[in-house]
Amino acid sequence: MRIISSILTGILIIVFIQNQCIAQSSLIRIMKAEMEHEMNSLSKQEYPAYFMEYKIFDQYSLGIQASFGSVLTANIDSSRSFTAAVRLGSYKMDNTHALPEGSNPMLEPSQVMLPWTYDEQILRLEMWNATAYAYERSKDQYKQVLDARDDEGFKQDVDDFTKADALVYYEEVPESIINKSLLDEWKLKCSSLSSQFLEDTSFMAGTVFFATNQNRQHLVTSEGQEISQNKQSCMLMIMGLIRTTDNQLAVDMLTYSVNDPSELKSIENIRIDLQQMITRMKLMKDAPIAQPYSGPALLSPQAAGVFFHEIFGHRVEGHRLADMNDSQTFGDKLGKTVLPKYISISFDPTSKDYKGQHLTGSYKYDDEGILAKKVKVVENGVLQDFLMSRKPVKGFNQSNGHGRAMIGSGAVSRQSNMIVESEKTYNEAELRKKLISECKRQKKEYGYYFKQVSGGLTLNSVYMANVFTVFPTEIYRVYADGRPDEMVRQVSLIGTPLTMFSEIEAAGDDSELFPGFCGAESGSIPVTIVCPSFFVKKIETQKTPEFHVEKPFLVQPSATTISSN
Amino acid sequence: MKSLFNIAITFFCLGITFGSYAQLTSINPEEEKIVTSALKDELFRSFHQLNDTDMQKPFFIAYTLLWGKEYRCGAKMGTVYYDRFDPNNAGTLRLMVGNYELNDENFNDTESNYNSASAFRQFTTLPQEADYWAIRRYFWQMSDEVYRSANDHYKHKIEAINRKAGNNPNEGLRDFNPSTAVTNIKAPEVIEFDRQKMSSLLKKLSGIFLEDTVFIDSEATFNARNYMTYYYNTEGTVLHHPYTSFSINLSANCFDVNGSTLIESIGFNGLTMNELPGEDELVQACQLIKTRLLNNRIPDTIPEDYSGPVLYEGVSSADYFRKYFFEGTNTLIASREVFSNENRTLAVKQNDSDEQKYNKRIFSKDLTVLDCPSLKQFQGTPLYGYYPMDAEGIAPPDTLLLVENGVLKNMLNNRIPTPNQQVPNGHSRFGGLSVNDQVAPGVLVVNAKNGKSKEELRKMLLEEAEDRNLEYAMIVRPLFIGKNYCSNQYFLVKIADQSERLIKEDISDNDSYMKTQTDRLLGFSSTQIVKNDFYSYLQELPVSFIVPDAVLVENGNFRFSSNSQYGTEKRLVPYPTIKKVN
Repeated sequence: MRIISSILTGILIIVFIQNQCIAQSSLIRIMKAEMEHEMNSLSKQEYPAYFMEYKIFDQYSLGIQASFGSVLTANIDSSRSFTAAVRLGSYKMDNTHALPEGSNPMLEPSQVMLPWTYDEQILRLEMWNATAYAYERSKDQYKQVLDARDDEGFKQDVDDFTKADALVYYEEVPESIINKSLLDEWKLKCSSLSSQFLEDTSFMAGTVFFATNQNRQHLVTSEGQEISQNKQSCMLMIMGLIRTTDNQLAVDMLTYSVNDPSELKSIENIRIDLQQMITRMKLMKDAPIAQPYSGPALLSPQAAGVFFHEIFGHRVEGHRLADMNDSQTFGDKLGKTVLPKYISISFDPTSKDYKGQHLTGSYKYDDEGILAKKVKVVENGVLQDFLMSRKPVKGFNQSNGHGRAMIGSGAVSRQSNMIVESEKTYNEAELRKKLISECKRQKKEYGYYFKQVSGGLTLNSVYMANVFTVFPTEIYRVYADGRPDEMVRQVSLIGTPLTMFSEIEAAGDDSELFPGFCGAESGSIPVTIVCPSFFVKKIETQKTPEFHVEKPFLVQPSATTISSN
Repeated sequence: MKSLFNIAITFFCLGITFGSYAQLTSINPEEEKIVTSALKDELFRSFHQLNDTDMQKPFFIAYTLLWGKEYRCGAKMGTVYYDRFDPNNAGTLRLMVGNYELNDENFNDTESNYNSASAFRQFTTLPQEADYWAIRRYFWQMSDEVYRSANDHYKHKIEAINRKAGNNPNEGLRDFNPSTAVTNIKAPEVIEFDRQKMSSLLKKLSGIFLEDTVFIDSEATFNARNYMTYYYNTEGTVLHHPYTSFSINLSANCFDVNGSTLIESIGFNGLTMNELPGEDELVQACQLIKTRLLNNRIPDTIPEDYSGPVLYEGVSSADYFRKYFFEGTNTLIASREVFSNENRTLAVKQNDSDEQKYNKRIFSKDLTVLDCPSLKQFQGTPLYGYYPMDAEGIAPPDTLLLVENGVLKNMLNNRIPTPNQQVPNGHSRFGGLSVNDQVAPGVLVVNAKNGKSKEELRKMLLEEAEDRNLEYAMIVRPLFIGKNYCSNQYFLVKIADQSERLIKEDISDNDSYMKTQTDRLLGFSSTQIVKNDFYSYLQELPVSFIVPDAVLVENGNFRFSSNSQYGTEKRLVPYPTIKKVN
């Protein structure tokens, strides 16, 4: 009986998987059929469609949140969504054409949820509805472009969109890693990790987030691109908030980003990292608040990575050069020296890992269906290239596979895996020596060492000061007179790009990887930075806002605190 | 390693093994033990240990926890889009400092320096599963915040009272009525339904609209909810209150001839699965939606706004009484003026009620209004509004006389006394889906003297309209599908030939129910009907109305507008008709 049951189950599974493969390819067929149906009509309208893009995103996710030893949420979820985007006019001038008053319309896809079915009727009906709204949006944009044609300042020096070749690329349906046993396994792990925060009652939050995603994206365009590719990621984030002795909140976090949960460090090693973070945070309780400062500093690989992402990375995103509102820091710097000669920077979405660690900014084809390419943006300090999507800018007519967007947004040029390299490197002791020597030269009592950061931001509008901010979570004063380093808190690293580039003095030999999510016009996308530490002759800091928190009247209830009461 | 779709296989196999019946439990006995222990233990600790030397000790704390699950299934155009169970938990607390006579409540503290936006609150959320420490932590954190703010308000209130001595509108009025400990523990309910059958039904219902390409979207949804509310206070009161509800909603969209989108929907609710309509009635409801949409595709001339006499027939009359007594200004809910430390204003009124009209006539002298929460059924219909004990542990009287021969006698209240309603009458009701209680009726009964027949009322309506030189009169009538009430329908009756025109357009009721006149009712029926309803649709607070089955109102104001929703462009691309391959 058991044998028959096993055979039957086996047959069922084989038939099911075969059916899924057929169904998956029929998804592309359905997208193509509806797109053809739409293009037949929309290309003949008064405002004709010349390009159409359909995407289907199958998302499988597993998410857990645990706090102080308790699992708060644990869910497995799945969804299928569809986006339609329509371009009207022509490659030369379409609905995304920059308007004289400065606005830069973006392609606005319309998004609908799809059911988990391969029923052509219902899928095409949803596509039909979504396309109608996408066309309406694009038509409104295109009318504005046409109306502005005779206005002063209307430029037409470059095309609005580049052509792409037809291609078919199909990745097999991936093996599933999202299941109940993974959920149960990580519920226990998250709960156990978060319970480590119970050791000090000053912790106001001790939270562990675990998320694994398996996404499959289907792209069909009216140019004949048919791409089905998979994206998988796993992230473990541990965040603590501690109440300092002066009743402020201090934050620190650990982030691990891999492709597959099995690639994460062992739980024992994560526990050690967390224990170190907890120890650090307990020191933060009594750390003094840093005052505004200007002087030399050491940036750890992580801090330097965020620093480069903000001050440099966002400024080589090509589409900004066509944006009249953008300050275009590198607008006329092509072929010129912008960084010290020993520094080279590339963006490489084709690399999947770095020293065994997963690079979250990797992909085969970008979100516009263009094959990802490694782009050497700076070589030996000289600016060589920009990150390009299918929106051309003067002198750059082709995409290099950096058109990226989150679901539901139109793609623009964005960063992928940023690799910062230095020909000339120094070890940690040498960099410290340089820092102390520079402090003495500048007659500073101390310099700063920014060890951990939580993120950063940058402004690049012509209407605002082009400042960047990096938010450090672990900061030390390094005294010139040899006193031990002193931990400080509540300070952020600020500056303006060109000044900062000229202050970069030396790089370390300790490249590390920092994964994160970058938010910009086309939404939040995963990126990774690989960077060594850097010594900078002069940085500026400013105080961060105070987050006051009262000491609770009663101790947080937990098995340890209540029994000890 | 499993393929992505093995999850689906697992569910498929489970379906074969266990059948398609789904059980929806709010909480199991083991979880209930954890949840209630956490509530009791943290309540005890907070009450006995929140006693900072510089602050007033709390004299009353109540913890309320809503714990439950919801099943949702939805189909569009013949295809299931979602089919899932979701947990839904929420907690709240009430903590007072001072004493029953004078405490931190009933006070509008404009000088509060308490910042409630705690930076770490977002990390202290209730868990999805019963977790003793996580639940305690949630109430610990909230108690800490509220203890701090209550002391802040109390301090300011005392200062304001001293500053405005003699000008406190609530002087001599206790802030909160004490109560003895009561226990009312009801077991959680288990509800069952055939999940597969329901999903197939929703597919079928939403698929009805696929027959005609004029329909661009349709949706059929089913929701089942099973909740428990746990209430524990430091007076010793323990309440465990179960709540279940079910709903089916049907809707569809089509274009009108101008390309605008028309939407029609019909919904059904019930506290039990049996109250929902059967398949035949649901199909009938879909057909009705289709007919309405097809009829509305060619827009009529929108009628002019209507202002004149209105006849409410059948259960539609319950809507009139509900609005009259419980919406807008001057409701039958007791409320007191809230003392304020605002310098310019002595006091602000919390909400409007008929409080000042005690023993005065507020309504037709032929009507008497009662609330009878102990009434379990009426003419064989079980009543939603029956409850033996309210959400504060107060047992309501069997019958509370609210309006006697048009004269206001009592108002619904909770444990906060008002000048004319100082004793609680047990009308703080558990909100079905909300953790917050609300003062509301249970079973509102409107008894009428000198009632008239429906024919007489219709005749009176037409005469009244004619006297006022109106071209039309208005009748509001319930729409039933089978035995199930769907919605109200509005008819304009032409005075000249008494022909009726069903209003297809959207209708907004502009009547503000100022209730300044007592002669606004021209007549009512002597027979009664019952309508089970929700007091607040968001909270799903169940109430019942037993009212005259027709009521003629002197003045109603209605505005009609186009029911085209959005989109002004005709579709450029033809509907993608696909030949079905079965």
